Amino acid sequence: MSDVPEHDQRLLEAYLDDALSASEVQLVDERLTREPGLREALVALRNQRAIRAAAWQSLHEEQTSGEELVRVMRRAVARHEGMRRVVRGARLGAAMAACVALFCGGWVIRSAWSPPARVAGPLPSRVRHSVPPPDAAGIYRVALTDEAGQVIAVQPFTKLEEARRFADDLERYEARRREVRQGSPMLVSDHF
Amino acid sequence: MRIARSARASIARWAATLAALLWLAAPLRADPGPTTRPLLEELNRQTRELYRQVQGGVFRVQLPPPRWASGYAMAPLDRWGKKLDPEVRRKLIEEERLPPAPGTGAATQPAVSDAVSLAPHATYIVVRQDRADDEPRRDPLLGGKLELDAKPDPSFSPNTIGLLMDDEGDVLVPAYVEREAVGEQLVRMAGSDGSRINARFVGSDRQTGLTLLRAEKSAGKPVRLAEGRPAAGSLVLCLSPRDGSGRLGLWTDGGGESGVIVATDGQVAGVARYGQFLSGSACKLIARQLMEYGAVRRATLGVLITEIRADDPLRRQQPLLGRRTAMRIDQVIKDSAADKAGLKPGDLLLAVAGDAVTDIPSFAAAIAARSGPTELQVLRGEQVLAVEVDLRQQK
Repeated sequence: MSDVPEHDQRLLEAYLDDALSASEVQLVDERLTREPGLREALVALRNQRAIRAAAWQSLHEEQTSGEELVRVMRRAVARHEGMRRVVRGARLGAAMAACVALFCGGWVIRSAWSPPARVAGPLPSRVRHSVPPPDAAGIYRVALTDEAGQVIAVQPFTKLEEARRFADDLERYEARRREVRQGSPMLVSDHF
Repeated sequence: MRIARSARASIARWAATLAALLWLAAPLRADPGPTTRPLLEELNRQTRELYRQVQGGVFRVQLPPPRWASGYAMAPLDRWGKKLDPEVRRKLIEEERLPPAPGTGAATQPAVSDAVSLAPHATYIVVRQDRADDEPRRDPLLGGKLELDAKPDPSFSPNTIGLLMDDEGDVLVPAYVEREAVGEQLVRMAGSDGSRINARFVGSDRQTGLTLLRAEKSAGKPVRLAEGRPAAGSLVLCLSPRDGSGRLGLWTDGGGESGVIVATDGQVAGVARYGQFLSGSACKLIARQLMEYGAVRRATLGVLITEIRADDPLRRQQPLLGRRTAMRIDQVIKDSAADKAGLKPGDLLLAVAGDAVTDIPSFAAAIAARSGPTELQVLRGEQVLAVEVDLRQQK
């Protein structure tokens, strides 16, 4: 049996299952007459099937009919499918729980973590200096504000680009003032 | 044999049951009352004693705003000097409390660009402080605060502290303010008992960030200055320059501390500024020069030096540097002492005359202490070189 090629084995299986067309059956019959190896393989396959059928019969003596066997098979398949559904649900639940745990863990770490002390750079701007639209005379007025945000002086510009540049510089000035007031200045570069 | 075994098992079961009952009944036991912590109480007592010992030589000082700080803040507006509206200019000057520029005569028309110019070549960074005002008052244990007695006075708003150096009334302030910013005005100070004393400006040094004042009358007990820096991990009392309050803590020798550092023997170890450290002996040296000359007469090397901070990307490019403190030479002036000695831009300065230089203030003090041929240790590429430079003190 083992020295018969695999496609011939499949062909013999189909032959025994009556799964071949009439012309294919005729071809197999012709080969069986010509090829003793194939003939031996067919005999061996028949014997195996008989042994399996006998064993099956001994295990399920009460299942004498084909319908009963189908029912058993369907029950087994249903059991198997049920188990698969349970396992799939459990895996999905575990994945969701892991996601929730990761999210919560990340949230806790994020809350507990404090950013390192900033070494340099501007502090977050408290007062934004925006450039308002021009007045009737086409003048852009950038406001200088005090600590409370009250306008204490106004710088006029005729060009929008210039007004924007001044507003940016004013913001940098405000940030540096806050740095000096709230921080500890250190000399890090000098001529010697 | 079997009886003895069953008796042992029975005893074990009873013992286990009894232990479980005792464990369950533990919370029901009566409160034993407040526990004593003799070691912490002793630490508390000694902390207060240490603070009392040093506070006799500590003053709260109201320094005028330094010009360099105004200059640092105003620098972004420098280019608008001539284009500024007079009212905007006046308000900016009011906000910065800048004196009128020389020759203008009035506070309304000074040239902003004159008033805000930064000290030449000096670069500052600002390290943000924790807001001490928001912190709750705590017991003076580790991490707690001890505060100088100060009577509330709306006309007196101290912004730093000073250390009494001698019986002549010389007070060293760990902050830099220019002579022009103080002028002839008196600087107001308060002793630890709240008594008010006026002082005059003697001199200041930008590179070490120190200012020397002289009190009109001598009061208090001079502090003692230590020679070296504290060992990492030792207990120190850190006096906040903001309000003179003291905190007992562990000296990490890193970037976390800022203030006047007092060792457990009561000596002032030095001044820490978030990674920079000026030892007590260096403070004494600078104070002596300020007393004598009104300025520090340090030799001129002819280099622009930048501190390599712990987060400097250069440390990744230069593995030999590791965690070692160093300073980078960014520029060498032609025909200067540094140029003649062969120093080059990119060299990393490691030590002066065998003493490791850790930051700009300690380097400034090391240079101030020496004259004549001096050996500098330099890291160039992958080679550590010894370079001899001739330091000539300024007259």
